[in-house]
Amino acid sequence: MIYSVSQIIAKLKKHISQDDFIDLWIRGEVSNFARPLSGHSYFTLRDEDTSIRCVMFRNSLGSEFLKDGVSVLAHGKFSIYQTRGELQLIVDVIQPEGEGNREIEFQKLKVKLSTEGLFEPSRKRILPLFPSKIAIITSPTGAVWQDIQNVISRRFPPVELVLLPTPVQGDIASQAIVESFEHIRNDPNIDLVILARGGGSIEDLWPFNEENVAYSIFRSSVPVVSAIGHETDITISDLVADVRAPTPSAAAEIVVPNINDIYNHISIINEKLQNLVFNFIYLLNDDIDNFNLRQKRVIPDLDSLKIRLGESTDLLDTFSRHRFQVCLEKMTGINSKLDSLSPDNTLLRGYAIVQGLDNKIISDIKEIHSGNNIDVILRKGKFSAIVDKIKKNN
Amino acid sequence: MGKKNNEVNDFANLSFEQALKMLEETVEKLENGGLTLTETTDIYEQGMKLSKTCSNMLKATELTISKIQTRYSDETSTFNE
Repeated sequence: MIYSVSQIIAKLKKHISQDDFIDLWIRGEVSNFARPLSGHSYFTLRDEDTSIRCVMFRNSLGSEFLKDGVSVLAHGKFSIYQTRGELQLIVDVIQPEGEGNREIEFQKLKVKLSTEGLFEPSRKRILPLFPSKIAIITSPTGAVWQDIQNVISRRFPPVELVLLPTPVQGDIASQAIVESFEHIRNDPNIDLVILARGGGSIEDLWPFNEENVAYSIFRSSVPVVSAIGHETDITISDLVADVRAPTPSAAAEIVVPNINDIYNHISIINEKLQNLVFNFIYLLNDDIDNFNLRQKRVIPDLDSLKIRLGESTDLLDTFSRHRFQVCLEKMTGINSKLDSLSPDNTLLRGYAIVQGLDNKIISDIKEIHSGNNIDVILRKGKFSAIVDKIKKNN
Repeated sequence: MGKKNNEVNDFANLSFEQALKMLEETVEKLENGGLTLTETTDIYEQGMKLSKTCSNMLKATELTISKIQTRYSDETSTFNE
């Protein structure tokens, strides 16, 4: 018999509506939990190896316990969602059963690595301002690699992107990521690395919660920017990375500057350089002008100086001639006075000069005695005499 | 002559970050003042060269893209993202 898709799904649906599948208790860990506006809850219930999609209608018992990572006991029945042919568990009761294994693992590792200092803010490296070679650890087939190329090519094209094709989910992912970090260590030209993965379930993102990946990031030779899943997903890798970007596109924005900003910066610097030099030359011109002015002030105008000198000479001349005249006149006066006082003139007027033995002029009668030899000087000659009588005045 | 060639070569070996930093330093030097005319024109000339070097470094209009071969490079089937 040949079925159409609808027929066989309808048949399956009818088959699992039987007793065996309508009153079940199932133990599992919740993941991919979502509750849209309708108020219904959608999630995945899983154990180590297998998962099943679940739906829980609004106002069902225990829906408040639903949270990613918790272990629960779910009561419900199997059904097939006809349109998509998908098997799902319709849950009507949820009972919490302690935290899920993954959640416990995550918390344990977080505490351990935190104690070891892997999350220390002080050890976070600063990203280079202008990286020239950026390594990208991600899947070569996903949208992430394309998004990163687009953003960087728009913002800052003069860089080299190096892709390290790496599976980012499944069992091999964590080892592959570790190996990619080793490759980066061998290229000293790489400036930084973006570790990226698009959104996915907790299971999908689990490799980024593995201990060996955390240590690889910690020991990376260059700064690491993590961009794993959506903004709300925080993995151990995000905590260890030097910078955590909310999404892969955001990581690309973070690692390179906008080239237009850089061009602006350079042109502002150019303008500054030019202004500084023009200003320098302008001031220099000013200095030269000032110097010229000063020089004019310091070195006097020779012509006017000559004129002044001439004037001064004239003045001096006049002045000194006048003084000379005055002096001459004074001298004549003095000479005539001197003349009138000279002994010759006195003798001329009829006086005589009497000299003793030693030619001493005798001016007082007391100095002379009778019998003394004296000389008497008259005008035009002298004679000697002997004193006869002395007659003193009273 | 030899000196000038060396300068150009020196700039060519700089990273963009270094060249930009040197460019910013020339402005600082001029701003600090106290220079002779020769020093000023030398620094200005150096600044203009650096500015040109920086602009040239930004000229690439397309990303350079390369790959490092990993064990998983050819196993596209493993990348079921």
